[in-house]
Amino acid sequence: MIVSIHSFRGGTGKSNTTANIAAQMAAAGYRVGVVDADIQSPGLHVLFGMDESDMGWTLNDFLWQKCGFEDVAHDVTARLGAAVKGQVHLVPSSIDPGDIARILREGYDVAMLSDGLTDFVKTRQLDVLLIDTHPGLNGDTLLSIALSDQLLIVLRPDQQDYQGTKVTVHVARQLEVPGLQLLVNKLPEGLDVGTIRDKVEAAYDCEVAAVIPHNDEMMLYGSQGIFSLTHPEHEISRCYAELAAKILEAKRR
Amino acid sequence: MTLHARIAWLVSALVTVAVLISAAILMWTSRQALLQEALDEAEIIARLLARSAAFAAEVPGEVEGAIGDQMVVEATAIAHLVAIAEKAGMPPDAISSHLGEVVNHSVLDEVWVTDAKGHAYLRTNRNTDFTFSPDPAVQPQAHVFYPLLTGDKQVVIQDARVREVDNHIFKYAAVAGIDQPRIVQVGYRAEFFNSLKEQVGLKRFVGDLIADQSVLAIHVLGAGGSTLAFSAVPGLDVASEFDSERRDVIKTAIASGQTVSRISGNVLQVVVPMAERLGGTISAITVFLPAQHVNETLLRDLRFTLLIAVVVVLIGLLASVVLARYVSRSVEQVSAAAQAVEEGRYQPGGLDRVSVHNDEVGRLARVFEGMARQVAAREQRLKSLLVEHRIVIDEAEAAREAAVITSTDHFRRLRGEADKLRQRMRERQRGA
Repeated sequence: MIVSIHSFRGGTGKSNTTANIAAQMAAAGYRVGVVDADIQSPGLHVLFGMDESDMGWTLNDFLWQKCGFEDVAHDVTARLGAAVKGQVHLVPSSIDPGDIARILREGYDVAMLSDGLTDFVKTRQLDVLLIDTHPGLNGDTLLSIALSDQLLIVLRPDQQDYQGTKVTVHVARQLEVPGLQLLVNKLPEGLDVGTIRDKVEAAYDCEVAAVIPHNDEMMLYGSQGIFSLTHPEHEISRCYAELAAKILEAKRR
Repeated sequence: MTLHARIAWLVSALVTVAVLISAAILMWTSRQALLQEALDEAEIIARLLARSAAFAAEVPGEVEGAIGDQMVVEATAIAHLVAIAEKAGMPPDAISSHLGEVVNHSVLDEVWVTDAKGHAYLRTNRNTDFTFSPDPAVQPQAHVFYPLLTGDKQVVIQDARVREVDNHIFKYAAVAGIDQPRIVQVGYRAEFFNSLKEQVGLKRFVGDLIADQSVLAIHVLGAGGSTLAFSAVPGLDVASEFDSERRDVIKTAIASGQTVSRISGNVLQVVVPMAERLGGTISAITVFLPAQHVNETLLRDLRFTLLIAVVVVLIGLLASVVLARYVSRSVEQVSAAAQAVEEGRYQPGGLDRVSVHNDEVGRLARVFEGMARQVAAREQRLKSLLVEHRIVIDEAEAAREAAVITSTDHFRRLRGEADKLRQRMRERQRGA
């Protein structure tokens, strides 16, 4: 199953959410692939403890046909910060500004990316493939959404996100993505989870997979690692575990 | 357990422990003071006894010396009288008869007057014919007077001693003759010296000290380990008073040179070492004092102390309850306020009565009150935000923006291929 994790705007905690979902799925024993498709502003690799020197070939190199998809995938299970039963394989994007400018300027072969992702799933025997997209609705993002079996849209509870998410939901439905879920993230203290869930589900006519409260501790932890694995008893970690379960449940449906 | 109960228990426990420790220290110091008093008393008795005994030891010797000097006067007078009588031609029997008269009417018991060869031809004891010899083997006691005949000595005074011939105690003094070489000796039956020693000696003092029963027994140990004097009140088990433990106490005192005491039952044994007393003749004096009054005083003090302790503990318990109530009341009010905040029913100003206190709890209450106000204001603000939180979506605008995207050729192509792409991926996977 391919799951795209998307948001209309940046700063919603999308990458952090992707990393924690992947970690929780691996903890549940699944083999998970993660693709950093946010080619314009990549950063997912940091959460898995990788820096530029660890990356080697990147997704950009594959799209320029410098290497095969197998060459750009890294098994980061040992970097998760805690032992898990499953596995996590990461495909990072290049953080080199020249590479980023080139891919934006020249674009890439859509069919090749879809074939590469398929090979990735096949060769690594993945149960789930998570695609961390670039915020907004540009061509690359639309492609990721189009390829997905499941789309998880991350939004914060403010009017701008509400409006932008509505556009995204419209577009996703036009692309006939089989599964669509929402994640309300960084809910401010004082707002009731259940109330917000009901209101959002009513506004979008769409399942809300999770409402995750804002948490200062996690914010301070930043990109040091996978919070839900290093703080397994934390309330936020339980939210991520439930979210991962909800996504897997959607896959089974 | 509530704070009130905890403070009350803690203060009560502290008061009880403090009182018990104070009482124990008081009892111990009281016991030590009583024992020290008894020790001082025993030491005074022992030193007084030693000093008195030293004085008494000198008296018989001085008395005997004075008597000896008097006997020399008497012997000299007799020497002159004998010389005059013989010059006047008085026969020896008449002279002896006159000497007998002198003996019969004075404290003198014997008079012996010899010729130049030492034969006592003039004497009051007519039945004994006696001649002085210079040989100690022949006359162990009398030979010391022989030098009076040779002119080597003019006066000889002999210490009182038991006479060989009849075991009577006699003292003799003699002078050389006036008219010719001769010994003029007078004898005095000195049984009096023994009674004098007994009347003014160590045993007499020991007996007198026991008489009023303020001292149970006194034992004076000589330097050689022998008992010089011992006296005890009637009924005291003398044998048990000198068991091995008590003898060990005496040895310890002598070895250390320090006064040592031991209390056993109702008897306090105090041993005062006397190495320097009486020229080293007394080794130690042991005084046995009744310890009954020490024990009784201790028991009385113990009862009194326990009574005071119980009273103080009761006052302490009462005070701890009052103190706990005073201290905990403010804290309980703050605690109740915290619970009210937790349950969302706290009313600002609820701690005004505690806040006015100028102490730590008062400061805590003021800070808490401030924080509670902030929390209440924040909760109120959040509640209003929640009430105001609306999801306002401009559906037309959203549809318009979506249409901008979905109306492009790229999107139409993508939508047309999307399903194919997904289908292709599934087939490719199945192809694996």
